[in-house]
Amino acid sequence: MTTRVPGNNSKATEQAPPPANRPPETGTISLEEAEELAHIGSWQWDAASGDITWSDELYRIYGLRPGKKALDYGSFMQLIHPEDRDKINKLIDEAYRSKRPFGFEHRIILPDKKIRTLGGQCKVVTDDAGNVIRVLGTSQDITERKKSDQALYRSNERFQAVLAATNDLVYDLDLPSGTIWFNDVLSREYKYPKQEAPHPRGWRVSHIHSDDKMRIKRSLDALLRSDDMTWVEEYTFLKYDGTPVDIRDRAFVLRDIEARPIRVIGSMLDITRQKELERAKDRFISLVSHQLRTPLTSMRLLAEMLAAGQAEPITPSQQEYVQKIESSTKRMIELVNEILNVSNIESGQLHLRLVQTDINSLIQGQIDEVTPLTAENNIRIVYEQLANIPPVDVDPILFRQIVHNLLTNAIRYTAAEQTIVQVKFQRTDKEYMLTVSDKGIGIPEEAWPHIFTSFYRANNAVKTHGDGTGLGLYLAKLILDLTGGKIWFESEEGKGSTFYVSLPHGGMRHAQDNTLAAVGGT
Amino acid sequence: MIASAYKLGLTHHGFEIIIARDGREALAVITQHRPHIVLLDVIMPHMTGIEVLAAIRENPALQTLPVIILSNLDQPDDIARANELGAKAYLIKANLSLKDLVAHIQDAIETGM
Repeated sequence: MTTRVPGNNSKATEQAPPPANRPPETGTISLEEAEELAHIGSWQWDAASGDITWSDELYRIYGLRPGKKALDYGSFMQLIHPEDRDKINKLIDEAYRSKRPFGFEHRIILPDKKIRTLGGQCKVVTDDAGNVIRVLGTSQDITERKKSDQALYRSNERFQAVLAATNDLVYDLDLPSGTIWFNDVLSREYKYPKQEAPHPRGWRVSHIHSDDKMRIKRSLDALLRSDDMTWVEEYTFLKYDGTPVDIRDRAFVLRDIEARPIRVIGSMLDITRQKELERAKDRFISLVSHQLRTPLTSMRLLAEMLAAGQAEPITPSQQEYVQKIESSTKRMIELVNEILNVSNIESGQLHLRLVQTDINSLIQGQIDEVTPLTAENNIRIVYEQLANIPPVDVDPILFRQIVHNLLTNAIRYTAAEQTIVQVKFQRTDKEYMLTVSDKGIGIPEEAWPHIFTSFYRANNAVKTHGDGTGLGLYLAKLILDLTGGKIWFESEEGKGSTFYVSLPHGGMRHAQDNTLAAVGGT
Repeated sequence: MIASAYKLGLTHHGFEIIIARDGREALAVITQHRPHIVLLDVIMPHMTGIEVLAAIRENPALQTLPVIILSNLDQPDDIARANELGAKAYLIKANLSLKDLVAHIQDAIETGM
């Protein structure tokens, strides 16, 4: 340990500090009171004697009872955390050498073994010859501040690490300053030149592909006018060299106390690969389905011509076989159509073509079309129609598909002979409602939650009818969900099922916030 | 295969049928034989059915010729373009019985373009 007894004891250039217990002047507080209030202790070290004098508050900070007796340097060092003792020695050496004021920070060990961190400032007092005669200082407990500084540091460190580790382009749009900041991904992955200053506010949108730019601009404007906290959009963003990147952008809006947006912080995820796979899947389904249609068309035509005796007259049993070929072919065409429809709707390619439609004749047309299927079981379809309904705005192809799927299900799953399938079209105060009831096998309760799921078929349906696709109800629900309608059912196993379809009085319409609207709206 | 099946079926219903094997041949056949109606597929060698339809409409002599698109492809763009060019109908082959097709043809010939 360094010896701290300087040999020179010449005259001080500065008056000794006023005693700490000087009586207070009127209207002011004593130094002692001020220290106590601020939890700041003070000390002075006399170079000649090596004694250290503490203020009462400093004793309290060290967890000791205030004492009048000066401490020697060795006793002082015992109170300092062993790992910081060397640091204190070096600081004092440096103070002796430079004679300049300095700040310090060190840990102490309290009598109850707790460790606290102190921080403070010192000043070195010298005589005319420049010899140190005294060192004065203040100390205060900065343990809590250190902790929160460390927490802040760690949190910032974590934030920086996340920004460095991610491949997402993260941005911070600051509305008051009209600027937008990006993480390094902008230069690392998107190859834009590095720059220190943030970009102007509109920079991100101006680098969105022109096909999407206006849509995103409108969507962002709407976000800022709304009370929404979150925002998700997909668009094509351009790299520095113009390469398009499919992006899913998720943002969070920070608002002031009056809910005015002040910052939008978001991350742009590159979903190019996912989009490519989706497109490949769509192309594959479309290609396969269209390719399947061609041979099926030939089979259908030729079977129809054979059955009509167009080639040459055929026997009744030949007729029966050919008709079975024909109906199987139609069934397969129907399956291909359903798969194509589902694929188109799921990929957002459904174009709603609304036509003022006479619903009665549409439903009657579908009943006529499925009537041949009822022959086997002698099922009768009873249509209770609503007289004098004005034409309803629907996409006739899609609505026909829904009616067709409900009717064929009702017929297919009616096991008994000579029963009735009831079809009803009503107008209530709120909506139009189509009801299709059968007295068939019904839907077992465990199947209820899955009945509108694609490729799902209830156990009893699979056993009695192997040929269903499990797409009919899914497709009906998909169409109705996207066009403002609803579908639901009531059923009891063994007793039958009733399916309900409701449409608003205004008919089908583009539902908000879905793939249809996205297609229709751009 | 399908074309010959259609020819068989439609001949049976009393129509006289000329088959062209691609888009260019179709245009030549149409100009030369002046049929009462044209059934066009979309996917054909050299020229698509939509392109043939556009070429038909560019010929002043053929502007009122009834045309039905008969395809297994149902891309919304094609359907919209066919409607713009005044096709009488856009029919999906697989969804159509011979009887339906005959009804469409008769209707198109009667009502004209």
